[in-house]
Amino acid sequence: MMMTKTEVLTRIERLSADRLEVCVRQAWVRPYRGEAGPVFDETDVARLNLIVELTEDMAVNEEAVPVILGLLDEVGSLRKRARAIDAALNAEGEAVCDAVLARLQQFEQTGR
Amino acid sequence: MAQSDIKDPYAVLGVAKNASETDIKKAYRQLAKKLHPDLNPGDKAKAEQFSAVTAAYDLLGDPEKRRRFDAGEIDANQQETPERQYYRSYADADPSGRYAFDGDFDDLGSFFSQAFGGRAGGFGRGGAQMKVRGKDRHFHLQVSLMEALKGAKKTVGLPEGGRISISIPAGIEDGKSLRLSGKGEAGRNGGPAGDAYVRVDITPDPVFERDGDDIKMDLPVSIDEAVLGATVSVPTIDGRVNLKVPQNSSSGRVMRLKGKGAPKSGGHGAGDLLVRLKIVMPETPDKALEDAIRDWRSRYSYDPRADWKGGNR
Repeated sequence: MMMTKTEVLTRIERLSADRLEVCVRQAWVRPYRGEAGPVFDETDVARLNLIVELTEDMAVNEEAVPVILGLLDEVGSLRKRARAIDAALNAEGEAVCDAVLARLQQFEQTGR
Repeated sequence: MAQSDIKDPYAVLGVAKNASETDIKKAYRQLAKKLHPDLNPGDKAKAEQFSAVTAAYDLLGDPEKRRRFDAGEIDANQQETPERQYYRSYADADPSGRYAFDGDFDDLGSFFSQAFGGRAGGFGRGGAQMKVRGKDRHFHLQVSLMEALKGAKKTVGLPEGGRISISIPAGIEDGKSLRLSGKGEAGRNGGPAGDAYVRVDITPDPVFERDGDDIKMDLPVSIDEAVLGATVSVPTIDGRVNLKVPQNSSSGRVMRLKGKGAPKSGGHGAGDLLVRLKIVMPETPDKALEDAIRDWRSRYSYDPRADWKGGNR
């Protein structure tokens, strides 16, 4: 279900309208564009919640927010890719997995 | 709601019983930075610890709750914390890719750049003059079932001014995304424009319900129509048609109107409209009807549950 700004504000108690405006303007949160303005989904709400927790609970300052979000996005993308590689290797069967595992162990022990 | 099994919230936060409000807040802040599940993706132990810390802080961070806990009026184990999903679980499942890292992983080696390349990188090197692909744009359209079935044209305003017009193809399914190649933001240094993605959600219709290529509809009929048969005018997505209700029709009987369903993807033909009869009794009981039915029952009765599977349960 998509939500308007007003609906997002009722979902996140500690988020003010001004603050939401800042989050969108800085592109920390990137809502969909709808016919009647921006609309938000659950991913956006969870991301806004995280921003509130970073700034309110963890005293992260304004300049650090995009740095943290950017790194989290990169870690997220890397984890997604790692999962895709895991699935691809598993689909190849035990022999391929064993061969790759042996190679990885070799790299770890010899560094090359 | 989940219950975090904590006995001593002071111990969970690592503060003394007489800690000040500031000390408690400080302790929570330190632990949150260390344990927050979004900052420790995939670490289950830390996630569990964080939920205990949150429950403890919910109790001790609120002076009134803390007073009641200290007085023994409430128990830490009764502390309920809403079951919540952290950002990463949504980001993991997000099909739009709005928050996917848009740099490239070329430096990870040839295998990675081949396996996952092509999204952002790969347009030649050269520092500041590097060609950069424009960012993708993400739109959302809420359409009626009728618009989704018949197709529609919509326009959406752009942040930099101007409007983009979007054609919704007939027969689009709920939650589907359209990709408009090159309709994203402009590229830089001669790089290509990004793409636009349009997510389409369908508002349920009070009459028609979609089921794959078919459309389902309930049709209320009177008992006389069900008993004697009738011709009833019914709506379809292409306008009204006359539907023949056969004599002696049961409630739940499904009539199929060929080709009056949803357009099939690829533009070849359409599914069917399935009309399910629903016998509706008169609004107020009628003496004449009751007498007639009583008379009818005395001369002719039938067992509607003869073939019913529930009969011998």
